[in-house]
Amino acid sequence: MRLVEEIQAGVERERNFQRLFDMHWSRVVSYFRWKGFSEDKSEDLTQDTFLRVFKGIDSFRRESTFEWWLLEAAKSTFKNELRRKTAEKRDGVEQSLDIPRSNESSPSLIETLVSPAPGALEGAMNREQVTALRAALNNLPPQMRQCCILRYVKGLKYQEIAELMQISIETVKAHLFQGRKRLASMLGTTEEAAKKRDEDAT
Amino acid sequence: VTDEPIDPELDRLFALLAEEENGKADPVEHPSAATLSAYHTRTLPSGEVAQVQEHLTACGQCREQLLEYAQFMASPVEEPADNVSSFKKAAEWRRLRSSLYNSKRRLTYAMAAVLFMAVVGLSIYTLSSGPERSKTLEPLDSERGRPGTVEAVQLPVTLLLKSSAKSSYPEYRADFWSGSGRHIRGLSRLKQSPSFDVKIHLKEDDLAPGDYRIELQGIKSGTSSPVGKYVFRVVDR
Repeated sequence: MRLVEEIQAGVERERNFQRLFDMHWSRVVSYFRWKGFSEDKSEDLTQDTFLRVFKGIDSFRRESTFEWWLLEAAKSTFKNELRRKTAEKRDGVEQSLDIPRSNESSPSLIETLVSPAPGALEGAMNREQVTALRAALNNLPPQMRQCCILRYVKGLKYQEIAELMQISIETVKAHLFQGRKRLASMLGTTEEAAKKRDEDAT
Repeated sequence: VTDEPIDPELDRLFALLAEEENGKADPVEHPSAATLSAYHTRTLPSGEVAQVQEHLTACGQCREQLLEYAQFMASPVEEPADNVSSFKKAAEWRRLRSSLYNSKRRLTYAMAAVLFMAVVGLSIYTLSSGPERSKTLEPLDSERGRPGTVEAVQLPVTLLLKSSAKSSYPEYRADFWSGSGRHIRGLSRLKQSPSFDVKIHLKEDDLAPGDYRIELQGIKSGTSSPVGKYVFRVVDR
């Protein structure tokens, strides 16, 4: 941030620009590589990003980190590139993969109408069980509940949950283990509980 | 401890919950970029951390933003150096520098060219129209009975007739006399400047080359009083 402050104050602008460029160039190139661009294209887009950043550096208010701002500039460059590509393709004859081909077997109207829909009773039971799951989740400690939701509802990886919650992967796993145990106990979803339910029913 | 207990029924319930939840839109309000970046750098006040974590659990957009930032920050950063640290980067810096500064340089050159043209144009105009010079004329020393220096002027010119602070009048009249004693013209309602000069503008064709005398009179309450006599010579250009 010191370099940015100096640039904004007009102190050795070019030299400090060069230092910022040197520090962050690889990082920005890597961002475009993750986005699936070739190395050459990634370098071109990195140029565009730094050009955008250096031209607009006086408007950076230092409310967030410089890196956050730089990433926003890279995202903006990425979006512009996508728009440009889309505009180029608009005149093409490519067919969207979403449109089913005529010879592809898709369910007919009759098939759709006669296919068995889940029964009303089953639907009601499911809704009831989901409500019970929500209530059980709310009885977990906050971080355990958040880990369970991020993992089992949002489908995030352990690493991502650890990053978002700012905890170790081991802690994430421990939360999930404990969370499942407690939820199963509260909801009675274990095999033993299921057997007991079956016995009670007969 | 870290192996998740197998529970197909619980998984089925989570799948149902996911189906419901994932159809919902993200919350309308989001933490600011400053808050999220402070959260990432762990500089957010502890009271706000729990709020951000709760928001992240519900908001896909902020999760994506934060994970992308984390990934971005995980890339190695190099210490600032006076010179770029690799040939590749050096070449890229030169490319950027050229794009960054050439546009500025082009603008500077364009402005300099416009300024240069303006100066040249103004000079040509001034030379062609002839600069209006000014000439200060001292009054003839009547007490010692000898004329002052005869000033040579080229028309157009602004004559500054010196007078003393003691003889200040609301207005003045100047009479022009030729060297042969012929009255050429009279200019009235002239005003004194703050430096006690009386200014007379003479255009290019106002006077023919030759010697002239000006008699300056101060006018006050309809009465005129002599202020001074001035001589000058109009010369050809």
